[in-house]
Amino acid sequence: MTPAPIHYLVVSALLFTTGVVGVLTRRNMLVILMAIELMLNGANLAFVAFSRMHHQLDGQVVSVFVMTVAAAEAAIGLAIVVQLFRQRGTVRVDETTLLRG
Amino acid sequence: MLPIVLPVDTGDLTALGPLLAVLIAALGVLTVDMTFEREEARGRWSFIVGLVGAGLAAGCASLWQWEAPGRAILGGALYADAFSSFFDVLLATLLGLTLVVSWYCLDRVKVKPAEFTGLAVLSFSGMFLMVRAADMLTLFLAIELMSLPVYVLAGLSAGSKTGREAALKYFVLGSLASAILLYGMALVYGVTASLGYTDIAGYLATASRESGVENPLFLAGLALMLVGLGFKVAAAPFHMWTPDVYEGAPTPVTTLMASGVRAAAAAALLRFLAGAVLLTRGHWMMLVWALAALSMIAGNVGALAQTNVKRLLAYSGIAHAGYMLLGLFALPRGAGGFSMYVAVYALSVLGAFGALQWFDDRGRETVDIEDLAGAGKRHPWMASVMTVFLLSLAGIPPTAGFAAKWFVFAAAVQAGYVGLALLGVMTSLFGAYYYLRVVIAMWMDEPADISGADQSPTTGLVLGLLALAVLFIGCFPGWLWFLADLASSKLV
Repeated sequence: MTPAPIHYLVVSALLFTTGVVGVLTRRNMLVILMAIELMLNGANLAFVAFSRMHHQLDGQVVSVFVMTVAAAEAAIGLAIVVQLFRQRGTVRVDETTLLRG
Repeated sequence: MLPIVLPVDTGDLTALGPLLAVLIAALGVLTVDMTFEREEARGRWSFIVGLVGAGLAAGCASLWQWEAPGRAILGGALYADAFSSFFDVLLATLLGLTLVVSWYCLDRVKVKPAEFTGLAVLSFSGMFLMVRAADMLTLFLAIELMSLPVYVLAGLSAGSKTGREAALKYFVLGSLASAILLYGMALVYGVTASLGYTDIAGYLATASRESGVENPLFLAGLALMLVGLGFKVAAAPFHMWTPDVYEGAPTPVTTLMASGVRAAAAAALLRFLAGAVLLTRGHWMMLVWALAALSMIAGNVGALAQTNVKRLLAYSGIAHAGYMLLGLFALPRGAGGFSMYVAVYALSVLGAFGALQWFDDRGRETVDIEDLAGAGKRHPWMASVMTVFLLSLAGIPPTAGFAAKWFVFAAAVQAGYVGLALLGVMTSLFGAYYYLRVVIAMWMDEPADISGADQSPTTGLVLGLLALAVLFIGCFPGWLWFLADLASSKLV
């Protein structure tokens, strides 16, 4: 069976939801970074699937741009985590709470 | 051989002037950073390049013929119209002021001036892109170009214990917001088969109700996009990061986050709501209603208990996001009140944070209200300037904040949202209390040990002029209203 576009959309929604849940519940910063990547890739998959459905290229172009942005974002996120690790010696967010709220 | 034709004409380049000026200035600062050996020269020259960029951007933007009809340029990726010129002038002013008021504070918070300037100018180039974005891809790229340098800036302070944590919080929640926004865009694209605002509006106008304005997939996408943009303008209930990040980041960076970033995000929000999805306003106005009401309440209530001025201004910013959103109810007629409110708020809050930096203790980032006690006796001029900005934020006449509030409340009342406007009036009366608490501490309390490390006359002069401008707008709001209305009336 060839997967129809709707199957891709279901997978993309699952990826995105997994990402959201991951960002909100996980306490390890590296896992949170991965969850953010999952969300972006879920959106990417949706863009590509819709692009296929509409028989146009716009959505695929978006996904290429998003991949670039995701790489930049990951670089900055990892840099922040490394800096915080040097200062506090941990990558768990619940152990780095000087700020209230 | 195929002839290569660039799809750019000189008219387009003129319209892109402000954006290009800031982008080139950002590259210029990076070059300066690599060229000079000495730290001091790097800082000074990057500062000059950044200021020249801001000046050129303001110059290019004011050359725009404001009466001219707007048009889409670069294959429909960007708009060139009076709205982008209005925000270009505002952003260029904010960039120049941010650089000037932060200059003497950077040493104290242990941030290298060249790095601050480079990242700030880069972030502003994202904002210049954002206010003219005409499709969802450009909007997303502009938001990221604006946000990524600010994540770095928040954690840049070498000596700070809280800066890194603030950077992490800002990064995680900002990225979450961007990803939610992107998924919303994907759903909107899936329904409308287009990325451009004009095309989306065109699709909604022609499609049947079931496949267009009432389509659940489309409405879900729109709601996700509003959540993402709500994070960026720090509207409740997506405001939880604001107080922590504003407190933890070095004050120069907080200045930039509170003024430039919010102004650009608000402009992009208005552009999208008016340009692309105006036909579904029955649906999104309910969401905006909820956001506005929650922001006004959460912001003002949260600010009451604060003893730290940076946290206080963060909560006040949330409340101001609510007042700002009231201006959106004027759609589909011009949302001039919204644009004017954004401009006035950005200038006032920049002034308040600038004055706070002037009072900043040596090597200490936090300024508590009690640190400001007696400032009126020791530095009467600067305390007066700070008072003007705080009164403007509180919306007390004859400052600009009052005039701006007047226009957004009027917009909400005219659109029939009397209850929400009343809530706005009530909360701003209520909110005046915590601004006055700071004012009273400055003028009535006995002097604390307030060092005001570098009493820079230049910064003081610039802040004084800004305070005069805020008073001037408060006494004669007509011209700013005229420009804001002119800029915002042709978005639809």
